[in-house]
Amino acid sequence: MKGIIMENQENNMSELDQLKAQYETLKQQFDQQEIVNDRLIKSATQTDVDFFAKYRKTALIAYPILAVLGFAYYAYLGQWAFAISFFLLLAVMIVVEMWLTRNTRRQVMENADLLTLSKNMQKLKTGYAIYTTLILIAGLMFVTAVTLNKIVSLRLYGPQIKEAIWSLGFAMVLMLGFAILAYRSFVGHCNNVLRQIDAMNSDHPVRNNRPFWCFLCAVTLLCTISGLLFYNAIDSVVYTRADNDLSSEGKLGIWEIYADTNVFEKDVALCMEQWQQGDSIVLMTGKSGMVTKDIEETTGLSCNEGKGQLVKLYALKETTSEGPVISSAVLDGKPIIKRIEHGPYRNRKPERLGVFVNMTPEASQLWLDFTQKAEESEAPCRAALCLDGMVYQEWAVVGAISTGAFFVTSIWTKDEVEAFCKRLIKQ
Amino acid sequence: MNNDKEHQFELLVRQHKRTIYTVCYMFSHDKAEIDDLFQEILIRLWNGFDHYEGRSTAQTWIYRVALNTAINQDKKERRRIETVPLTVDIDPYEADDPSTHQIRELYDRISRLDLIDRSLILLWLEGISYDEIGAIIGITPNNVGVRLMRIKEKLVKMSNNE
Repeated sequence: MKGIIMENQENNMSELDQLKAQYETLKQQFDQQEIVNDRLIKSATQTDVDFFAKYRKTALIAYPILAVLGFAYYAYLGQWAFAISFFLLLAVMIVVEMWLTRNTRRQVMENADLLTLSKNMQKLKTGYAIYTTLILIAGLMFVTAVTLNKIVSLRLYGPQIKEAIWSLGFAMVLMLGFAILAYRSFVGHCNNVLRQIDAMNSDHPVRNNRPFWCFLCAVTLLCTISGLLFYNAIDSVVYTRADNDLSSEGKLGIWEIYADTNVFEKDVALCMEQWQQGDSIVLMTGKSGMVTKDIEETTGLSCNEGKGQLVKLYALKETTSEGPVISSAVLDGKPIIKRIEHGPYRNRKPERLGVFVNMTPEASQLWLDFTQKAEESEAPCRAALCLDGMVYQEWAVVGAISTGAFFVTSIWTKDEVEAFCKRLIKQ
Repeated sequence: MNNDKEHQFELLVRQHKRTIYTVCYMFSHDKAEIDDLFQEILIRLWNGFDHYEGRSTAQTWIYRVALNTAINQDKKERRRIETVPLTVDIDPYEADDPSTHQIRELYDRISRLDLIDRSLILLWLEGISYDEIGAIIGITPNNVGVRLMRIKEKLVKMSNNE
Protein backbone atom coordinates (compact mmCIF):
# COMPACT_ATOMS: atom_id res chain seq x y z
CA MET A 1 0.00 0.00 0.00
CA LYS A 2 2.74 2.39 1.07
CA GLY A 3 4.62 1.43 -2.08
CA ILE A 4 1.68 2.38 -4.32
CA ILE A 5 1.34 5.79 -2.61
CA MET A 6 5.08 6.41 -3.04
CA GLU A 7 4.83 5.46 -6.70
CA ASN A 8 1.86 7.83 -7.19
CA GLN A 9 3.73 10.68 -5.55
CA GLU A 10 6.71 10.05 -7.82
CA ASN A 11 4.40 10.04 -10.86
CA ASN A 12 2.85 13.27 -9.64
CA MET A 13 6.23 14.85 -9.24
CA SER A 14 7.42 13.93 -12.67
CA GLU A 15 4.13 15.10 -14.20
CA LEU A 16 4.36 18.41 -12.36
CA ASP A 17 8.02 18.82 -13.23
CA GLN A 18 7.07 18.39 -16.86
CA LEU A 19 4.32 20.95 -16.50
CA LYS A 20 6.65 23.40 -14.83
CA ALA A 21 9.24 22.95 -17.53
CA GLN A 22 6.64 23.51 -20.22
CA TYR A 23 5.39 26.58 -18.40
CA GLU A 24 8.91 28.00 -18.26
CA THR A 25 9.14 27.56 -22.03
CA LEU A 26 5.82 29.31 -22.40
CA LYS A 27 7.02 32.20 -20.25
CA GLN A 28 10.20 32.56 -22.27
CA GLN A 29 8.33 32.40 -25.56
CA PHE A 30 5.71 34.92 -24.56
CA ASP A 31 8.21 37.24 -22.87
CA GLN A 32 9.99 37.58 -26.18
CA GLN A 33 6.84 38.85 -27.86
CA GLU A 34 5.94 42.50 -28.08
CA ILE A 35 2.20 41.68 -27.77
CA VAL A 36 0.96 45.16 -26.72
CA ASN A 37 0.92 47.98 -29.24
CA ASP A 38 -0.11 51.62 -28.95
CA ARG A 39 -3.26 51.17 -30.99
CA LEU A 40 -4.38 48.42 -28.67
CA ILE A 41 -3.87 50.57 -25.57
CA LYS A 42 -5.70 53.49 -27.21
CA SER A 43 -8.54 51.24 -28.22
CA ALA A 44 -8.84 49.81 -24.69
CA THR A 45 -8.84 53.19 -22.99
CA GLN A 46 -11.45 54.61 -25.35
CA THR A 47 -13.87 51.71 -25.54
CA ASP A 48 -16.58 50.93 -23.10
CA VAL A 49 -18.12 47.55 -23.81
CA ASP A 50 -19.42 46.85 -20.39
CA PHE A 51 -22.98 45.55 -20.45
CA PHE A 52 -24.09 47.42 -17.34
CA ALA A 53 -22.58 50.69 -18.54
CA LYS A 54 -24.55 50.31 -21.79
CA TYR A 55 -27.71 49.39 -19.90
CA ARG A 56 -27.19 52.43 -17.71
CA LYS A 57 -26.74 54.74 -20.68
CA THR A 58 -29.90 53.38 -22.32
CA ALA A 59 -31.87 53.89 -19.12
CA LEU A 60 -30.39 57.36 -18.70
CA ILE A 61 -31.56 58.35 -22.18
CA ALA A 62 -34.81 56.39 -22.47
CA TYR A 63 -36.38 57.14 -19.08
CA PRO A 64 -36.13 60.95 -19.22
CA ILE A 65 -37.63 60.89 -22.74
CA LEU A 66 -40.48 58.69 -21.50
CA ALA A 67 -40.91 60.88 -18.42
CA VAL A 68 -41.18 64.05 -20.49
CA LEU A 69 -43.50 62.47 -23.08
CA GLY A 70 -45.76 60.99 -20.39
CA PHE A 71 -45.80 64.25 -18.46
CA ALA A 72 -46.62 66.24 -21.61
CA TYR A 73 -49.36 63.78 -22.59
CA TYR A 74 -51.16 63.86 -19.25
CA ALA A 75 -50.59 67.58 -18.81
CA TYR A 76 -52.12 68.11 -22.27
CA LEU A 77 -55.16 66.12 -21.14
CA GLY A 78 -55.33 68.29 -18.03
CA GLN A 79 -54.62 65.32 -15.78
CA TRP A 80 -51.96 66.96 -13.64
CA ALA A 81 -52.07 64.39 -10.85
CA PHE A 82 -51.20 61.65 -13.36
CA ALA A 83 -48.64 63.81 -15.12
CA ILE A 84 -46.80 64.50 -11.87
CA SER A 85 -47.04 60.93 -10.54
CA PHE A 86 -45.85 59.52 -13.88
CA PHE A 87 -42.92 61.91 -13.86
CA LEU A 88 -42.07 61.06 -10.25
CA LEU A 89 -42.34 57.32 -10.91
CA LEU A 90 -39.86 57.57 -13.76
CA ALA A 91 -37.59 59.87 -11.78
CA VAL A 92 -37.45 57.25 -9.01
CA MET A 93 -36.80 54.56 -11.63
CA ILE A 94 -33.90 56.56 -13.08
CA VAL A 95 -32.28 57.05 -9.68
CA VAL A 96 -32.69 53.39 -8.68
CA GLU A 97 -31.50 52.07 -12.06
CA MET A 98 -28.49 54.34 -11.98
CA TRP A 99 -27.54 53.26 -8.50
CA LEU A 100 -28.17 49.59 -9.20
CA THR A 101 -26.28 49.42 -12.48
CA ARG A 102 -23.42 51.49 -11.08
CA ASN A 103 -23.18 49.12 -8.16
CA THR A 104 -23.41 46.08 -10.41
CA ARG A 105 -20.82 47.44 -12.76
CA ARG A 106 -18.47 48.05 -9.88
CA GLN A 107 -19.03 44.51 -8.61
CA VAL A 108 -18.47 42.94 -12.00
CA MET A 109 -15.73 45.12 -13.39
CA GLU A 110 -13.56 45.44 -10.38
CA ASN A 111 -11.35 43.08 -8.61
CA ALA A 112 -13.75 40.94 -6.61
CA ASP A 113 -12.75 37.30 -6.41
CA LEU A 114 -14.96 34.76 -8.16
CA LEU A 115 -16.85 33.53 -5.13
CA THR A 116 -17.53 37.05 -3.86
CA LEU A 117 -18.57 38.02 -7.37
CA SER A 118 -21.03 35.14 -7.56
CA LYS A 119 -22.50 36.04 -4.16
CA ASN A 120 -22.80 39.69 -5.18
CA MET A 121 -24.47 38.69 -8.43
CA GLN A 122 -26.99 36.64 -6.50
CA LYS A 123 -27.77 39.59 -4.24
CA LEU A 124 -28.11 41.87 -7.24
CA LYS A 125 -30.50 39.45 -8.92
CA THR A 126 -32.71 39.38 -5.85
CA GLY A 127 -32.46 43.15 -5.47
CA TYR A 128 -33.39 43.70 -9.10
CA ALA A 129 -36.33 41.29 -8.83
CA ILE A 130 -37.67 43.19 -5.81
CA TYR A 131 -37.06 46.52 -7.52
CA THR A 132 -38.80 45.45 -10.76
CA THR A 133 -41.75 44.07 -8.80
CA LEU A 134 -42.11 47.32 -6.84
CA ILE A 135 -41.93 49.37 -10.01
CA LEU A 136 -44.47 47.06 -11.58
CA ILE A 137 -46.84 47.52 -8.64
CA ALA A 138 -46.51 51.29 -8.98
CA GLY A 139 -46.93 51.04 -12.76
CA LEU A 140 -50.00 48.82 -12.52
CA MET A 141 -51.55 51.07 -9.89
CA PHE A 142 -50.89 53.96 -12.22
CA VAL A 143 -52.40 52.26 -15.27
CA THR A 144 -55.39 51.11 -13.19
CA ALA A 145 -55.93 54.62 -11.88
CA VAL A 146 -55.72 56.08 -15.39
CA THR A 147 -58.11 53.44 -16.69
CA LEU A 148 -60.65 54.04 -13.95
CA ASN A 149 -60.37 57.74 -14.54
CA LYS A 150 -60.81 57.24 -18.28
CA ILE A 151 -63.84 55.05 -17.73
CA VAL A 152 -65.48 57.76 -15.67
CA SER A 153 -64.84 60.41 -18.29
CA LEU A 154 -65.71 58.09 -21.17
CA ARG A 155 -69.09 57.13 -19.77
CA LEU A 156 -70.43 59.95 -21.85
CA TYR A 157 -69.58 57.95 -24.95
CA GLY A 158 -70.80 54.54 -23.83
CA PRO A 159 -69.53 52.08 -26.45
CA GLN A 160 -66.03 53.61 -26.36
CA ILE A 161 -65.49 52.34 -22.83
CA LYS A 162 -64.60 48.93 -24.17
CA GLU A 163 -62.18 50.50 -26.63
CA ALA A 164 -60.56 52.40 -23.79
CA ILE A 165 -60.30 49.24 -21.74
CA TRP A 166 -58.71 47.39 -24.64
CA SER A 167 -56.20 50.12 -25.38
CA LEU A 168 -55.26 50.58 -21.75
CA GLY A 169 -55.16 46.82 -21.25
CA PHE A 170 -52.78 46.72 -24.19
CA ALA A 171 -50.66 49.43 -22.52
CA MET A 172 -50.58 47.32 -19.37
CA VAL A 173 -49.48 44.20 -21.25
CA LEU A 174 -46.83 46.28 -23.00
CA MET A 175 -45.60 47.55 -19.65
CA LEU A 176 -45.49 44.03 -18.26
CA GLY A 177 -43.57 42.95 -21.34
CA PHE A 178 -41.05 45.73 -20.83
CA ALA A 179 -40.65 44.85 -17.17
CA ILE A 180 -40.08 41.18 -17.97
CA LEU A 181 -37.65 42.04 -20.75
CA ALA A 182 -35.73 44.47 -18.55
CA TYR A 183 -35.63 41.88 -15.79
CA ARG A 184 -34.54 39.14 -18.12
CA SER A 185 -31.83 41.24 -19.76
CA PHE A 186 -30.40 42.43 -16.46
CA VAL A 187 -30.78 39.19 -14.55
CA GLY A 188 -29.96 37.18 -17.67
CA HIS A 189 -26.58 38.83 -17.68
CA CYS A 190 -26.08 38.04 -13.97
CA ASN A 191 -27.15 34.47 -14.70
CA ASN A 192 -24.57 34.14 -17.46
CA VAL A 193 -21.85 35.08 -15.02
CA LEU A 194 -23.28 32.82 -12.35
CA ARG A 195 -23.69 29.90 -14.71
CA GLN A 196 -20.03 30.10 -15.66
CA ILE A 197 -18.92 30.21 -12.04
CA ASP A 198 -21.40 27.52 -11.09
CA ALA A 199 -20.20 25.26 -13.89
CA MET A 200 -16.61 25.52 -12.87
CA ASN A 201 -17.09 25.41 -9.13
CA SER A 202 -19.28 22.51 -8.14
CA ASP A 203 -18.25 22.85 -4.49
CA HIS A 204 -20.08 26.14 -4.28
CA PRO A 205 -23.27 25.90 -6.31
CA VAL A 206 -24.57 29.40 -6.64
CA ARG A 207 -27.20 29.22 -9.34
CA ASN A 208 -30.57 30.17 -8.00
CA ASN A 209 -33.64 30.80 -10.11
CA ARG A 210 -35.82 31.57 -7.12
CA PRO A 211 -35.81 35.36 -7.70
CA PHE A 212 -37.14 34.90 -11.22
CA TRP A 213 -39.91 32.56 -10.11
CA CYS A 214 -40.79 34.93 -7.27
CA PHE A 215 -40.86 37.72 -9.80
CA LEU A 216 -43.11 35.75 -12.15
CA CYS A 217 -45.45 34.85 -9.26
CA ALA A 218 -45.57 38.50 -8.19
CA VAL A 219 -46.33 39.56 -11.77
CA THR A 220 -49.07 36.94 -12.08
CA LEU A 221 -50.57 38.01 -8.77
CA LEU A 222 -50.46 41.65 -9.77
CA CYS A 223 -52.05 40.89 -13.12
CA THR A 224 -54.83 38.99 -11.38
CA ILE A 225 -55.47 41.82 -8.93
CA SER A 226 -55.33 44.31 -11.73
CA GLY A 227 -57.66 42.16 -13.86
CA LEU A 228 -60.13 41.97 -10.99
CA LEU A 229 -59.98 45.73 -10.60
CA PHE A 230 -60.66 46.15 -14.30
CA TYR A 231 -63.44 43.61 -14.15
CA ASN A 232 -65.06 45.53 -11.31
CA ALA A 233 -64.46 48.75 -13.15
CA ILE A 234 -66.27 47.63 -16.27
CA ASP A 235 -68.83 45.49 -14.52
CA SER A 236 -71.99 47.23 -15.64
CA VAL A 237 -75.63 46.32 -15.08
CA VAL A 238 -77.69 45.42 -18.11
CA TYR A 239 -81.47 45.28 -18.44
CA THR A 240 -82.94 43.70 -21.54
CA ARG A 241 -86.59 43.64 -22.36
CA ALA A 242 -87.90 40.26 -23.52
CA ASP A 243 -89.37 40.23 -27.05
CA ASN A 244 -92.83 39.25 -25.83
CA ASP A 245 -92.79 41.76 -22.97
CA LEU A 246 -95.17 44.56 -23.93
CA SER A 247 -95.87 45.73 -20.40
CA SER A 248 -95.66 49.44 -19.75
CA GLU A 249 -95.51 51.56 -16.61
CA GLY A 250 -95.58 55.32 -16.92
CA LYS A 251 -95.01 57.45 -19.97
CA LEU A 252 -91.84 57.81 -22.00
CA GLY A 253 -91.36 60.01 -25.03
CA ILE A 254 -88.73 61.78 -27.05
CA TRP A 255 -89.87 65.29 -27.89
CA GLU A 256 -88.63 68.10 -30.03
CA ILE A 257 -87.67 71.14 -27.97
CA TYR A 258 -89.33 74.40 -28.94
CA ALA A 259 -87.82 76.57 -26.21
CA ASP A 260 -86.24 76.31 -22.76
CA THR A 261 -85.16 78.48 -19.86
CA ASN A 262 -83.92 78.33 -16.28
CA VAL A 263 -86.29 79.51 -13.55
CA PHE A 264 -86.36 79.30 -9.77
CA GLU A 265 -88.39 76.44 -8.33
CA LYS A 266 -90.98 78.80 -6.82
CA ASP A 267 -91.51 80.56 -10.16
CA VAL A 268 -92.18 77.40 -12.20
CA ALA A 269 -96.00 77.59 -11.97
CA LEU A 270 -96.02 81.26 -12.93
CA CYS A 271 -93.71 80.72 -15.86
CA MET A 272 -95.73 77.75 -17.09
CA GLU A 273 -98.81 79.92 -17.14
CA GLN A 274 -97.02 82.64 -19.08
CA TRP A 275 -95.48 80.13 -21.49
CA GLN A 276 -98.71 78.35 -22.44
CA GLN A 277 -98.88 79.13 -26.14
CA GLY A 278 -101.25 76.64 -27.73
CA ASP A 279 -102.23 73.02 -28.15
CA SER A 280 -99.06 71.94 -29.95
CA ILE A 281 -96.80 72.96 -27.04
CA VAL A 282 -96.32 70.87 -23.88
CA LEU A 283 -94.49 72.26 -20.87
CA MET A 284 -92.22 70.10 -18.79
CA THR A 285 -89.48 70.68 -16.26
CA GLY A 286 -86.06 69.14 -15.93
CA LYS A 287 -83.06 69.21 -13.63
CA SER A 288 -81.05 72.38 -13.96
CA GLY A 289 -78.23 71.61 -11.59
CA MET A 290 -76.02 74.32 -10.19
CA VAL A 291 -76.15 77.92 -11.35
CA THR A 292 -73.13 78.17 -13.55
CA LYS A 293 -71.43 81.35 -14.69
CA ASP A 294 -73.06 80.88 -18.11
CA ILE A 295 -76.53 80.67 -16.59
CA GLU A 296 -75.83 83.73 -14.43
CA GLU A 297 -74.68 85.71 -17.46
CA THR A 298 -77.52 84.66 -19.81
CA THR A 299 -80.41 84.75 -17.33
CA GLY A 300 -79.23 87.17 -14.69
CA LEU A 301 -80.23 84.59 -12.06
CA SER A 302 -78.13 83.95 -9.02
CA CYS A 303 -78.48 81.41 -6.25
CA ASN A 304 -77.60 84.12 -3.77
CA GLU A 305 -81.08 85.53 -4.21
CA GLY A 306 -82.36 82.83 -1.84
CA LYS A 307 -85.20 81.69 -4.08
CA GLY A 308 -84.31 77.96 -3.99
CA GLN A 309 -82.96 75.63 -6.68
CA LEU A 310 -83.07 76.40 -10.34
CA VAL A 311 -85.36 74.32 -12.56
CA LYS A 312 -85.18 74.06 -16.31
CA LEU A 313 -88.46 74.73 -18.05
CA TYR A 314 -89.01 73.21 -21.48
CA ALA A 315 -91.58 73.99 -24.15
CA LEU A 316 -91.83 70.79 -26.19
CA LYS A 317 -93.43 70.42 -29.64
CA GLU A 318 -96.08 67.86 -30.23
CA THR A 319 -94.83 67.11 -33.73
CA THR A 320 -97.34 64.44 -34.80
CA SER A 321 -101.02 63.98 -34.37
CA GLU A 322 -100.31 60.99 -32.09
CA GLY A 323 -97.96 62.87 -29.83
CA PRO A 324 -94.22 63.50 -29.56
CA VAL A 325 -91.41 62.42 -31.90
CA ILE A 326 -91.30 58.92 -30.46
CA SER A 327 -93.52 57.39 -27.83
CA SER A 328 -95.44 54.19 -27.24
CA ALA A 329 -98.50 56.12 -28.46
CA VAL A 330 -96.82 56.68 -31.84
CA LEU A 331 -95.76 53.01 -31.87
CA ASP A 332 -99.27 51.75 -31.22
CA GLY A 333 -98.46 50.98 -27.60
CA LYS A 334 -95.28 49.09 -28.34
CA PRO A 335 -92.31 49.72 -26.02
CA ILE A 336 -89.56 52.14 -27.05
CA ILE A 337 -86.65 50.73 -25.04
CA LYS A 338 -85.03 47.38 -25.75
CA ARG A 339 -81.90 47.40 -23.62
CA ILE A 340 -80.31 49.53 -20.92
CA GLU A 341 -76.77 49.40 -19.56
CA HIS A 342 -75.43 51.37 -16.62
CA GLY A 343 -72.31 51.48 -14.51
CA PRO A 344 -69.52 50.97 -13.64
CA TYR A 345 -69.38 52.89 -10.36
CA ARG A 346 -66.50 54.23 -8.39
CA ASN A 347 -68.36 55.05 -5.18
CA ARG A 348 -71.80 55.52 -3.77
CA LYS A 349 -71.62 59.30 -3.65
CA PRO A 350 -73.47 61.29 -6.32
CA GLU A 351 -71.30 61.62 -9.42
CA ARG A 352 -71.77 62.08 -13.15
CA LEU A 353 -73.06 58.73 -14.32
CA GLY A 354 -74.27 57.55 -17.67
CA VAL A 355 -76.96 55.18 -18.86
CA PHE A 356 -76.61 53.68 -22.30
CA VAL A 357 -79.94 52.94 -23.95
CA ASN A 358 -80.87 50.93 -27.05
CA MET A 359 -84.26 51.46 -28.67
CA THR A 360 -86.45 48.80 -30.19
CA PRO A 361 -86.13 48.47 -34.00
CA GLU A 362 -89.40 50.34 -34.59
CA ALA A 363 -88.39 53.19 -32.29
CA SER A 364 -84.93 53.26 -33.89
CA GLN A 365 -86.54 53.75 -37.32
CA LEU A 366 -88.64 56.64 -36.04
CA TRP A 367 -85.57 58.19 -34.41
CA LEU A 368 -83.66 57.85 -37.69
CA ASP A 369 -86.51 59.50 -39.61
CA PHE A 370 -86.59 62.37 -37.15
CA THR A 371 -82.82 62.91 -37.09
CA GLN A 372 -82.67 62.71 -40.89
CA LYS A 373 -85.25 65.49 -41.14
CA ALA A 374 -83.29 67.48 -38.59
CA GLU A 375 -80.14 67.04 -40.66
CA GLU A 376 -81.87 68.25 -43.80
CA SER A 377 -83.55 71.26 -42.17
CA GLU A 378 -81.58 74.48 -41.96
CA ALA A 379 -82.60 75.35 -38.41
CA PRO A 380 -80.82 73.44 -35.61
CA CYS A 381 -83.01 70.89 -33.91
CA ARG A 382 -83.06 69.75 -30.29
CA ALA A 383 -84.76 66.77 -28.69
CA ALA A 384 -85.58 65.84 -25.10
CA LEU A 385 -86.12 62.52 -23.34
CA CYS A 386 -89.11 62.81 -21.04
CA LEU A 387 -90.20 60.28 -18.46
CA ASP A 388 -93.42 60.76 -16.54
CA GLY A 389 -93.59 64.48 -17.22
CA MET A 390 -89.94 65.17 -16.45
CA VAL A 391 -87.13 65.91 -18.91
CA TYR A 392 -84.11 63.72 -18.19
CA GLN A 393 -81.91 64.48 -21.16
CA GLU A 394 -81.71 66.90 -24.02
CA TRP A 395 -79.68 66.63 -27.21
CA ALA A 396 -78.78 68.88 -30.09
CA VAL A 397 -79.42 66.83 -33.21
CA VAL A 398 -76.84 67.58 -35.88
CA GLY A 399 -77.03 64.50 -38.09
CA ALA A 400 -78.92 61.30 -38.85
CA ILE A 401 -78.60 58.65 -36.15
CA SER A 402 -79.12 55.11 -37.33
CA THR A 403 -77.82 53.23 -34.30
CA GLY A 404 -81.03 53.62 -32.31
CA ALA A 405 -78.92 54.29 -29.25
CA PHE A 406 -78.58 57.25 -26.91
CA PHE A 407 -76.92 58.18 -23.68
CA VAL A 408 -78.51 59.69 -20.59
CA THR A 409 -76.19 61.38 -18.11
CA SER A 410 -76.74 63.18 -14.88
CA ILE A 411 -75.22 63.65 -11.46
CA TRP A 412 -76.87 60.98 -9.39
CA THR A 413 -76.15 58.08 -7.05
CA LYS A 414 -76.04 54.43 -8.04
CA ASP A 415 -79.43 53.85 -6.35
CA GLU A 416 -80.96 56.73 -8.30
CA VAL A 417 -79.60 55.34 -11.57
CA GLU A 418 -80.93 51.89 -10.81
CA ALA A 419 -84.38 53.27 -9.96
CA PHE A 420 -84.35 55.33 -13.18
CA CYS A 421 -83.31 52.33 -15.30
CA LYS A 422 -85.95 50.08 -13.80
CA ARG A 423 -88.59 52.66 -14.66
CA LEU A 424 -87.16 53.30 -18.10
CA ILE A 425 -87.09 49.66 -19.17
CA LYS A 426 -90.76 49.30 -18.39
CA GLN A 427 -91.84 52.14 -20.67
CA MET B 1 -4.05 64.16 -15.92
CA ASN B 2 -5.75 61.63 -18.17
CA ASN B 3 -2.59 61.26 -20.25
CA ASP B 4 -0.67 60.53 -17.08
CA LYS B 5 -3.18 57.83 -16.16
CA GLU B 6 -2.95 56.36 -19.64
CA HIS B 7 0.81 56.36 -19.41
CA GLN B 8 0.73 54.55 -16.05
CA PHE B 9 -1.76 52.05 -17.43
CA GLU B 10 0.39 51.45 -20.49
CA LEU B 11 3.43 50.79 -18.30
CA LEU B 12 1.47 48.37 -16.16
CA VAL B 13 0.10 46.50 -19.17
CA ARG B 14 3.47 46.28 -20.86
CA GLN B 15 4.98 45.00 -17.62
CA HIS B 16 2.36 42.26 -17.27
CA LYS B 17 1.64 41.57 -20.94
CA ARG B 18 2.79 37.96 -20.60
CA THR B 19 0.47 37.30 -17.64
CA ILE B 20 -2.52 38.52 -19.65
CA TYR B 21 -1.44 36.70 -22.78
CA THR B 22 -0.98 33.43 -20.87
CA VAL B 23 -4.50 33.65 -19.45
CA CYS B 24 -5.86 34.44 -22.91
CA TYR B 25 -4.01 31.51 -24.43
CA MET B 26 -5.18 29.04 -21.79
CA PHE B 27 -8.83 30.10 -22.17
CA SER B 28 -9.04 30.42 -25.95
CA HIS B 29 -9.28 28.06 -28.89
CA ASP B 30 -7.60 30.04 -31.64
CA LYS B 31 -5.51 33.12 -32.30
CA ALA B 32 -8.47 35.35 -33.13
CA GLU B 33 -10.07 34.45 -29.84
CA ILE B 34 -6.86 35.39 -28.02
CA ASP B 35 -6.94 38.81 -29.70
CA ASP B 36 -10.56 39.36 -28.67
CA LEU B 37 -10.08 38.21 -25.11
CA PHE B 38 -6.86 40.20 -24.68
CA GLN B 39 -8.65 43.33 -25.77
CA GLU B 40 -11.57 42.75 -23.45
CA ILE B 41 -9.24 42.16 -20.53
CA LEU B 42 -7.44 45.42 -21.32
CA ILE B 43 -10.76 47.27 -21.41
CA ARG B 44 -11.79 45.80 -18.07
CA LEU B 45 -8.42 46.60 -16.55
CA TRP B 46 -8.72 50.16 -17.80
CA ASN B 47 -12.25 50.47 -16.41
CA GLY B 48 -11.11 49.14 -13.05
CA PHE B 49 -7.81 51.03 -13.04
CA ASP B 50 -9.25 53.94 -11.03
CA HIS B 51 -10.41 51.56 -8.35
CA TYR B 52 -7.20 49.61 -8.05
CA GLU B 53 -6.00 50.78 -4.68
CA GLY B 54 -2.87 48.72 -4.44
CA ARG B 55 -4.16 46.55 -1.60
CA SER B 56 -3.05 43.51 -3.56
CA THR B 57 -0.05 43.28 -5.86
CA ALA B 58 -0.52 44.45 -9.44
CA GLN B 59 -0.04 40.87 -10.61
CA THR B 60 -2.79 39.55 -8.31
CA TRP B 61 -5.14 42.28 -9.48
CA ILE B 62 -4.36 41.62 -13.14
CA TYR B 63 -4.79 37.89 -12.70
CA ARG B 64 -8.09 38.42 -10.93
CA VAL B 65 -9.49 40.67 -13.64
CA ALA B 66 -8.07 38.53 -16.44
CA LEU B 67 -9.44 35.27 -15.02
CA ASN B 68 -12.82 36.87 -14.25
CA THR B 69 -13.02 38.13 -17.81
CA ALA B 70 -11.89 34.84 -19.31
CA ILE B 71 -14.35 32.84 -17.25
CA ASN B 72 -17.28 35.23 -17.56
CA GLN B 73 -16.70 35.93 -21.18
CA ASP B 74 -19.68 36.96 -23.21
CA LYS B 75 -18.60 36.02 -26.69
CA LYS B 76 -21.57 37.60 -28.40
CA GLU B 77 -20.94 40.89 -26.64
CA ARG B 78 -17.22 40.77 -27.37
CA ARG B 79 -17.74 40.33 -31.10
CA ARG B 80 -19.30 43.79 -31.19
CA ILE B 81 -15.94 45.38 -30.40
CA GLU B 82 -13.58 46.11 -33.21
CA THR B 83 -10.55 43.98 -32.40
CA VAL B 84 -7.05 45.39 -32.66
CA PRO B 85 -4.61 42.58 -33.54
CA LEU B 86 -1.84 41.84 -31.05
CA THR B 87 1.78 42.21 -32.02
CA VAL B 88 2.76 38.55 -31.79
CA ASP B 89 5.10 36.67 -34.12
CA ILE B 90 4.17 33.13 -33.14
CA ASP B 91 0.98 31.20 -33.46
CA PRO B 92 0.96 28.96 -30.38
CA TYR B 93 -1.73 26.80 -31.98
CA GLU B 94 -0.02 26.29 -35.33
CA ALA B 95 3.76 26.83 -35.17
CA ASP B 96 5.86 23.68 -35.30
CA ASP B 97 9.17 24.49 -33.61
CA PRO B 98 10.12 22.40 -30.52
CA SER B 99 9.43 25.09 -27.92
CA THR B 100 5.99 25.90 -29.35
CA HIS B 101 5.32 22.18 -29.46
CA GLN B 102 6.03 22.07 -25.71
CA ILE B 103 3.70 24.98 -25.10
CA ARG B 104 0.97 23.24 -27.04
CA GLU B 105 1.45 20.11 -24.99
CA LEU B 106 0.97 22.16 -21.84
CA TYR B 107 -2.13 23.72 -23.37
CA ASP B 108 -3.53 20.30 -24.31
CA ARG B 109 -3.15 19.08 -20.75
CA ILE B 110 -4.49 22.14 -19.02
CA SER B 111 -7.39 22.73 -21.40
CA ARG B 112 -8.83 19.33 -20.45
CA LEU B 113 -9.38 20.64 -16.92
CA ASP B 114 -12.50 22.56 -16.03
CA LEU B 115 -12.31 26.34 -15.80
CA ILE B 116 -11.61 26.71 -12.08
CA ASP B 117 -8.96 23.99 -12.12
CA ARG B 118 -7.41 25.62 -15.16
CA SER B 119 -7.21 28.91 -13.26
CA LEU B 120 -5.75 27.23 -10.18
CA ILE B 121 -3.02 25.34 -11.98
CA LEU B 122 -2.12 28.41 -13.98
CA LEU B 123 -1.68 30.45 -10.82
CA TRP B 124 0.29 27.67 -9.20
CA LEU B 125 2.59 27.37 -12.20
CA GLU B 126 3.14 31.10 -12.03
CA GLY B 127 4.48 30.55 -8.52
CA ILE B 128 1.80 32.54 -6.75
CA SER B 129 1.33 31.72 -3.05
CA TYR B 130 -1.70 29.77 -1.80
CA ASP B 131 -2.89 32.86 0.05
CA GLU B 132 -2.87 34.93 -3.12
CA ILE B 133 -4.46 32.15 -5.18
CA GLY B 134 -7.21 31.96 -2.53
CA ALA B 135 -7.68 35.72 -2.75
CA ILE B 136 -7.96 35.59 -6.55
CA ILE B 137 -10.34 32.63 -6.73
CA GLY B 138 -12.23 33.31 -3.52
CA ILE B 139 -11.43 30.17 -1.56
CA THR B 140 -9.34 29.51 1.55
CA PRO B 141 -5.62 28.71 1.22
CA ASN B 142 -6.32 25.23 2.66
CA ASN B 143 -8.92 24.65 0.01
CA VAL B 144 -6.40 25.78 -2.60
CA GLY B 145 -4.01 23.10 -1.38
CA VAL B 146 -6.65 20.36 -1.46
CA ARG B 147 -7.85 21.35 -4.90
CA LEU B 148 -4.34 21.54 -6.30
CA MET B 149 -3.64 18.06 -5.02
CA ARG B 150 -6.77 16.77 -6.78
CA ILE B 151 -5.83 18.58 -9.98
CA LYS B 152 -2.39 17.03 -9.95
CA GLU B 153 -3.96 13.59 -9.54
CA LYS B 154 -6.31 14.33 -12.41
CA LEU B 155 -3.39 15.34 -14.61
CA VAL B 156 -1.54 12.12 -13.77
CA LYS B 157 -4.64 10.05 -14.54
CA MET B 158 -5.05 11.82 -17.86
CA SER B 159 -1.42 11.22 -18.66
CA ASN B 160 -1.68 7.52 -17.76
CA ASN B 161 -4.81 7.11 -19.90
CA GLU B 162 -3.05 8.45 -23.01
